[in-house]
Amino acid sequence: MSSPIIIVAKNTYLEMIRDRVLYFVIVFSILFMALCFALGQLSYSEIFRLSVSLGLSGIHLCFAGLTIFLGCVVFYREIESKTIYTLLVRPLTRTQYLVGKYLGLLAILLTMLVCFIACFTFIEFILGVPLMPTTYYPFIGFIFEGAILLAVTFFFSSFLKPFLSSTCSLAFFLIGHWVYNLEALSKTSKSDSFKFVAQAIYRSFPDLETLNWRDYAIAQAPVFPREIFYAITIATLWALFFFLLSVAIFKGKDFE
Amino acid sequence: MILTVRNLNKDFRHPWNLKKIPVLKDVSFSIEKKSIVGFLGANGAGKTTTIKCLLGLLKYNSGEIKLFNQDHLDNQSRMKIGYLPERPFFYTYLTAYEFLKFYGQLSGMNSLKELNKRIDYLLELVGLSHAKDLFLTQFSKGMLQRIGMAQALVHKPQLLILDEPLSGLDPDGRRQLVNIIQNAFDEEGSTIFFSSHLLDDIDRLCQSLVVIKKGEVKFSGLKEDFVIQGARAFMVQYQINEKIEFKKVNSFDQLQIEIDQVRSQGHPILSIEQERMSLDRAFKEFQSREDI
Repeated sequence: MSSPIIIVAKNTYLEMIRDRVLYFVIVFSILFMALCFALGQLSYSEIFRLSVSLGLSGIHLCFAGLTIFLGCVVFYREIESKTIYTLLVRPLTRTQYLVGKYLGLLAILLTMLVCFIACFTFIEFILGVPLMPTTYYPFIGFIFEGAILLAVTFFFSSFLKPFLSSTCSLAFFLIGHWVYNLEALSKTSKSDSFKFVAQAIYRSFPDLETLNWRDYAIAQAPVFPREIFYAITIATLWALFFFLLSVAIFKGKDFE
Repeated sequence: MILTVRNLNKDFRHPWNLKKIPVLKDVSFSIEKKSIVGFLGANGAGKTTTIKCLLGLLKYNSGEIKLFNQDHLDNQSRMKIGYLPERPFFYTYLTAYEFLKFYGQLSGMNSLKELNKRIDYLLELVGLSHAKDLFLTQFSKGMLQRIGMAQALVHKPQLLILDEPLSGLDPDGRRQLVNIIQNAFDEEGSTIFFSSHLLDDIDRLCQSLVVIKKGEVKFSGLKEDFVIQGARAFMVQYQINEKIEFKKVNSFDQLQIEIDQVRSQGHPILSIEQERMSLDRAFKEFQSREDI
């Protein structure tokens, strides 16, 4: 017997695979990534390192943008077009519906990431950059960061319109990468009140920099498995936290 | 009873001052098995809100809803419901076959062989066999409404809830959909509860009515009773010498006066008949009455 969660997840995957907007975003992402590599070629020295760095940064930004786009649009579209009405009257709980949507979008993100990895490898190969296993560590971070961002977009989309929801999600992404610096700054500050506020902010947001292994890839240095395990555990807990928040809001939602 | 609604109350909040706006006030009615029940009311009377409460799409403030003697949100009772919303929008990226397969599987139909058989039967029933592999984006409004009916019927529901299924369709489309609804009742044994503004179709299809006005159920019962209740005119037939006279009076009070008058003049009353009305006229009369 197929679980309703799997049925919804499959349908969500199919929806996105057949969506022309997604292909437009992917083509744009690939062009952006190629541009980042091309910029790396302008360097006088360290061409390879710069190409990898800019290429990975390009993929990172595109992937985060794609995640926010998917989370905000798909969720809102279902409510706005009222297709959700005929779903929620079936033997399907609201939690099952959200889990199915989430898993479907996560599967799409994984597919996109495989595409990006293939493009990255192809461009690196063309440029003659030596490919090492360490080059691919950042992609693990990307998918777990995507899992958090997706849950965050679900959370915002459960009570905001797509524009506001995507703006808030983007702000969340930027803050998530910035709190690391804030925490470092608080350690050097002499002001106790600043330290307190900075720590409070640091604890309130996931530190997305813990999932950033681009420097390791550029330096071709190995990442300790313990560090990876710790980062993905924390990321999973944050994703779960935001997902449960969105479930709580969605359960009490009226479809007027 | 297949559906029982007791003392259902629902308020909306004003978006600015957050004041409560009552939209359903002590709504109570029930629906018997194997019947077609029309849900009548003017725009904004509370029909769609009531239907959404029944289906769990809206949370109500107080009251009780029982479907098949179970809680209306129970998965077991949901398996027995089919629903077609007002102005349905469907997944346009799916073909008609994929669309029905998706809803069939969601409703617990696990045997793909049986599901495929059912899909073929339904596509034939709604006249869309030729469009099995077409994407819904290529469908006209009438075709969408018919595929919507098919999704509501895919799991052979015992109760079919239809919200304005006939609105916005041309006469031919309406006729087709009325036939499908009639077929669901005759061949599949579904109980049907549907709201509509099109009283001709309600008159043709329904045996019972639930009439709602300003968030309150004002009538629940047989259609004939509603039509008689709405009719206020009486035709009095009496005899003066050898001649038979007719007199029409427009209220029960006037009728009493007329009877007294005819009798005091010593003329025999031959018959008193309540005027027969169409559902359309009875509903208009009902809407115009201030006392209800």
